[in-house]
Amino acid sequence: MKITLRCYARFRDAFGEEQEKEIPEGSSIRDAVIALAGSGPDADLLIDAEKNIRSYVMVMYKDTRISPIDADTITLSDNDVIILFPPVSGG
Amino acid sequence: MNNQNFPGSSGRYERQISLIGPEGQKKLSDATILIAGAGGLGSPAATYLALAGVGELVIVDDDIIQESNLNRQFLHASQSIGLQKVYSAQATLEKLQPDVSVVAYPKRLDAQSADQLIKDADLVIDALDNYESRFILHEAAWKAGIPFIHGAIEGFSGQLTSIIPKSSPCLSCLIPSAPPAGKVSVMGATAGVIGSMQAMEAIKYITNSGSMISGRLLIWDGLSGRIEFMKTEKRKNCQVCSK
Repeated sequence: MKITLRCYARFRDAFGEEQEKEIPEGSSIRDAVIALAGSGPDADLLIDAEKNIRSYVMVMYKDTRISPIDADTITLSDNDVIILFPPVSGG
Repeated sequence: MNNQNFPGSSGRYERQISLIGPEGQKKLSDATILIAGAGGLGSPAATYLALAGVGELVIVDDDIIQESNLNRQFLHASQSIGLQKVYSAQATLEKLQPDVSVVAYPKRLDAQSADQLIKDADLVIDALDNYESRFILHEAAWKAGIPFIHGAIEGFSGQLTSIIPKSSPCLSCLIPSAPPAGKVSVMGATAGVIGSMQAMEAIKYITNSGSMISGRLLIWDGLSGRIEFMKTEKRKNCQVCSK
């Protein structure tokens, strides 16, 4: 199935504004984020060594914030959109 | 009540009294707002609140003005480099709007000063540049039951939410731990957008107009022109609001 990942701020700098990914049926939000992160040097921004989504990453799915801890429990459907945003800190 | 009831208001508020009524203008005139940070966000937020007729602005910041601030921090002029930001901000705002009372506090926020500064405030604008100070100030505001208008920026992006005690999730529900710090690049207009929205949230709250951006985080991306709203919920066992 096809899903879209949209990135903002420094995630956008690393992964582009929007990427479509083909992932297997039954994949979770965590699987999709791992697919986006890939194995390049910027993967570290999104996931840790155990491939868990980092705690500061804001994951938005269907207009709602999904805790990185729950990202493994939500199964995606075809054409779903996931938004990834790092909290920004400047003032 | 008419336009003449507000200090120095010979027409100054004419274009907004038709929106908020004389009662709303009186509420602004009676309000005290604490602005934490006299930098990129603090410049538009403080300016628009002063121009709107807020009676008293308390500004806290321990920074001095550097040349690299000047692409966005328009409260400060080139000749003010090296001065304390709060005094430069005070001078600029009082020149723009002589009726506003600006209290300058040139110290770094800690738990004690946060409690003290919040005591007399009706609302807090979070125009800070680091999460350590944000969390301290936010917790003090939450405990005191005072609204906390959070804003933050980076590059061409920004975020904003209004934390209303007893009604919305708190900042720690939204951001349990500080993101990795780094040198932040920022386009001046990004600060202008988010800082102006913070002023708007404050004006809405004080005058009881419209609905607050509360229980949701506004994410603004200047490069694409997109705005997202992310619903937020109270976090179980939150260290601040579950106490």
